[in-house]
Amino acid sequence: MTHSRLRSTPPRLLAGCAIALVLAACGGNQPSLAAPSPTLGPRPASPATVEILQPAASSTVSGTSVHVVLKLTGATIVSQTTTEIRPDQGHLHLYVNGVLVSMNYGLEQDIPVQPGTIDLKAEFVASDHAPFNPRVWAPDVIFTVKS
Amino acid sequence: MPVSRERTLGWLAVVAGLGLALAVQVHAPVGVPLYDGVIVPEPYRYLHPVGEQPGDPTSADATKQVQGGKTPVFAVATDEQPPQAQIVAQEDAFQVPAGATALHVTITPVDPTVQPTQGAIAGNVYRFAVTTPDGQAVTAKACDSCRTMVIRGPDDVTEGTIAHLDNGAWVNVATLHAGIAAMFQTNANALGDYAILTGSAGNGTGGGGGLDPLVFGGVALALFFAVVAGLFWYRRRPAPVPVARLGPTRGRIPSKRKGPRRPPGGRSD
Repeated sequence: MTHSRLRSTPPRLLAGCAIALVLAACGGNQPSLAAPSPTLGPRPASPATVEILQPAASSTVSGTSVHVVLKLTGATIVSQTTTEIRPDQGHLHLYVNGVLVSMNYGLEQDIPVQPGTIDLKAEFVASDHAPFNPRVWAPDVIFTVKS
Repeated sequence: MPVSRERTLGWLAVVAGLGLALAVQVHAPVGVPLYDGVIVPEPYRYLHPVGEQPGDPTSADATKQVQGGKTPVFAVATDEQPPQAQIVAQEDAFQVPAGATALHVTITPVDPTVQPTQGAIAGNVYRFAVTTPDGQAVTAKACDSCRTMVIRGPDDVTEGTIAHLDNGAWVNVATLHAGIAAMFQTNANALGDYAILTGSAGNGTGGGGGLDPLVFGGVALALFFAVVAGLFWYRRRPAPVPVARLGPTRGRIPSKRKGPRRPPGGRSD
């Protein structure tokens, strides 16, 4: 009995370690992703419109993160990733100075920021993470962060 | 081996893994949700590529209307993904020349006119310029963080300092990491030529301190494999030999067992 338990335990341990390692690997506040380029075939159009409600354009905030609030109309956010895309379903990508910092399955989120002037963009993308055609961008919001 | 010891070892391994994840969180807190897409950044484009390096870096060029005598809010960036150079400015970040109704904002990769005396230029030098439509230079206004330049270096640059070519010499400016390893930003006080320098005594003010993420990742990986190796070593140990149950007799203890009978009378002829 002891030996069989011994043989059955390591896979579970390996799984635990692997999960922990994956969690660790997902950490860090330096995203290494860039804006996705549309590489798929013909893309559908979407009826969605996106707007950045917060932070306000030309505003000045302080701190190391900023609370972003978005408004999405004409579509709904779905969290699952699938190639069976629908024009009225997807999620939001947030960009800080051209760098993709978030794939957001909600309409509010805190994002890390550095002191300086920031160009914040938001795009509604399909459930396969690729953009619609034409792309659904919110008007840029430029704001300043002071330390 | 007793089951309870195995279980303890297992839980210790899991706790160690979770502790590792927690350590990473503490070291570099996550402020963004989990990524579930695989997106590859565009390779760095060199002004003078060598060998297989990509070339043809893009420039940026935009015209912005002056509004109420003030320069407008704008963001101008090169076309790479992510951009290799960009400038983001708040309203009134530049001094508008009298009579100017529009501004011409350009970012251009250029050859360095001089080399730095300390360190080396990583990637391209970018010239940031704001002029009136007739070519008159526009100067930057003094302000706090109202104007940010972001420069991306080659992919292998993890530590660098932005430098400004000032009166014929490269001068390091306060530099921050800008989201990904090879991107840096500065809240610039002047326009002109900017580049990322590596190997120089930087004036960086943040983002570069602490343990190198690559080193941290390597240590984490080594720890993981050490745990895995330990588990395999545990598995390969031979199972304990079962003790024969001989009942409550003297034969249970080997030293007490009876040996083979010797012939009586000592030696036999």
